[in-house]
Amino acid sequence: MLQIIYYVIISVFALFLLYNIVKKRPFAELVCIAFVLVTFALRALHIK
Amino acid sequence: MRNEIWVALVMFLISIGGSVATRNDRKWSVFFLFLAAVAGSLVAGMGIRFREIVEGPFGFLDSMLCVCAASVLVMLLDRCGAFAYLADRICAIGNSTLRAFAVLLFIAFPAMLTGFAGSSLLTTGRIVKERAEGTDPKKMHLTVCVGAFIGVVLPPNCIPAMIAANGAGSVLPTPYAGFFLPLLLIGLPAFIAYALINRKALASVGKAEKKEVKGMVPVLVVLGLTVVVVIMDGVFASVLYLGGNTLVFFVASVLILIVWRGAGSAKAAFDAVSDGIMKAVVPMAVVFALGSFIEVSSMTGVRGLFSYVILPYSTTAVMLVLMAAALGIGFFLALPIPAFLITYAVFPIGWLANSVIVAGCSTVLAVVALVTCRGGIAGCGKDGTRSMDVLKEAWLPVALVLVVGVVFVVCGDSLTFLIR
Repeated sequence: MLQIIYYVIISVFALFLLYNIVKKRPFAELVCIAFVLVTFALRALHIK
Repeated sequence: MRNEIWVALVMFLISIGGSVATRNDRKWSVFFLFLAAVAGSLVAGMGIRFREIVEGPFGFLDSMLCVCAASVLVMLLDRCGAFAYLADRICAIGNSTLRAFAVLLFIAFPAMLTGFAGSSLLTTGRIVKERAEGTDPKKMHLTVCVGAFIGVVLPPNCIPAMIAANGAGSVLPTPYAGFFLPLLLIGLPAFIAYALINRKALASVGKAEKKEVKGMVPVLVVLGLTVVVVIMDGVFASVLYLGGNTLVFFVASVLILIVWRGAGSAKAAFDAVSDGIMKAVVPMAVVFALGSFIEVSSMTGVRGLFSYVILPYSTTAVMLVLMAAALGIGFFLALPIPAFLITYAVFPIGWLANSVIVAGCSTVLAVVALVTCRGGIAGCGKDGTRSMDVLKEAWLPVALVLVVGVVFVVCGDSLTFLIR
């Protein structure tokens, strides 16, 4: 149950990051968003 | 020269070069830490190891999720007017000493929840600056920065302690658990001392001229319950598991979205959540990039060589030397290299290390974030703010935090009763 809730939390945060990465931003900020997004997305895919 | 030394040199030089070229801009340090991790892997002749580069950040994921969830909660509290309402109530306190304590707690509160100073500077710090009466704006800026620094050190979340916790152990990082009381004892003396010596500036905060915020009772009930649950989780974690602070902050955010009648539209609520996540992105990315850097250093044998070199020395001596080095380097190059040194300082005490010692080691990182010649919490080098001004304002809380930190490192084995 807790795994599912954490999956939901990571997925919600990842979707918001995805929404923000498509906006025009300075390069350094885009790198930051991409780094966090990739980590969140990969971890979300790993949750069993 | 040994291959590991070449790898370490290349990684350090790229990171140092990045800090110098970008004047310690935290956003850019993510890019340079990542570049250093890739370069280290290439110099070691291992090619670009995607697995290690993404596996490093995984060690920080649970704690960063908590930071992100707390940042959303803080942003919602700010947007719905709860902080402005609380500021009005605090300003109505008659006793100036009590008001100074309340204002300092108010400034520190967002940073306590999120673990990074920016959340205080952008929310409660902004409110306090706007309402300061008869105090020099520069003095007020520094006061807010020191308040945010104290908030970073205080529990429940403290990014420096999360970074340090990850350093212990070679295969699995130490979980960010059992830090509540050690962090409270590190931050409390600085909190009390700073509120007393800076009573005049802190008590100068007055009531806003704008119309009073209304309809805050349900939001404050949610906030109060959240604080109670977080304290219970911190103090009674070993006997009572409530799902972790990430879940607590997430549920609190959802409840605030439900009871926040003034949101007006779904877009306002959506923007508040989005901004909350975005405020936490840079601190999270720095920590994740540091994870890659540390993982590649382990993979390429740098950590192994370090273990071999420190073998004859006592772990306490190694920690104290690396803390001093991190403090010195951090003054010039801000956080990346000191953070790496602190993870290595904690490493010899092993997996599931004593969190009192880990918290003690991490105090250096919190100090480096405040006292640095460029950038940092106070934005040294910008708007005429100099590191000497920060030192003059913050010397007492900084000294107290460092002294308690060193005592924890030296006497940590006798203080295990603080781990709950």
